[in-house]
Amino acid sequence: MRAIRALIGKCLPDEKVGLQHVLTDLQLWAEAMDGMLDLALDLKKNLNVIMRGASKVAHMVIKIYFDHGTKPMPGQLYHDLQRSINNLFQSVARVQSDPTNMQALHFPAGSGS
Amino acid sequence: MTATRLPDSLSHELQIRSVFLTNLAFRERGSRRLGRSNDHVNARSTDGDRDVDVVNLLAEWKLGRADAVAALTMHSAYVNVSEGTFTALAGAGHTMMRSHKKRVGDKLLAAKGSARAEVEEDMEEEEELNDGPAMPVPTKVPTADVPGKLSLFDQEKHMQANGVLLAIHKERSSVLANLKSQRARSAAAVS
Repeated sequence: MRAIRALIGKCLPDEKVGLQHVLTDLQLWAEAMDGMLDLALDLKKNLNVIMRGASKVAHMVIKIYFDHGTKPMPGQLYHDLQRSINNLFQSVARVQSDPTNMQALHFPAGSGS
Repeated sequence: MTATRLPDSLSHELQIRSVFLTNLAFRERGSRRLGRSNDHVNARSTDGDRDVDVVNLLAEWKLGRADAVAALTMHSAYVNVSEGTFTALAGAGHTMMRSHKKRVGDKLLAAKGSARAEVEEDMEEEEELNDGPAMPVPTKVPTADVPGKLSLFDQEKHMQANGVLLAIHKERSSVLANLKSQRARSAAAVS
């Protein structure tokens, strides 16, 4: 995904111009999924950066799914992504609103945050 | 664990620790990697700040939305996307979990005039045909209407058949009523 993102802004050679739209679609998808990859793989990011990335994924994915339905992604994948992000935000909000909370740490683990 | 086995277990633990201390390479062997875990759930393996109290949920949500707008507008299909787009979606009742005001997995209706819409209409018509026309309610034929030429045995058979038909019709009506109420309930739950 990161390799695909690195191609952003770069044009293909003239003989492969027809593939340009495929590349831009892939780049958009890679950009959308980047936040979810960070959530699972990047161990150095702070929780607020992870949540910002998750919010970015949620907004990108709803726009893509709203406009194009299940063409770019199956409904199950859309649901799993949004459910994971939903759980992440809900669990953090729940701990924050808990008066007995004593410096809780959060470790996102897939859809079961 | 019993009190008698506790000392044994502790001595085994100490022996294992001594082996690890003398052979540090053992700790990093195999799938466990006791010295340094790559498990993202393990607090020791994360360098980032995971303190929940530091996070401002609303601010991160809005920053993420701005990032999404910036990323989407790079694609030619989403040039006109702005933060107002998401506000309008939310205002119209679309949520992240119900992007089309329906749960994901529920059948979405195709746009009118599209090829898929025609296929759906055909399927609906086919379903109606398969459902069949309403069965006429068999009425109990009074004995006086039965032709006088029928023997008592024939009359008995006629009445039995009529009763069976009536029972089938009642069963069918109750099943249909149950189906209708289930559909109404599911529609109400979705809305």
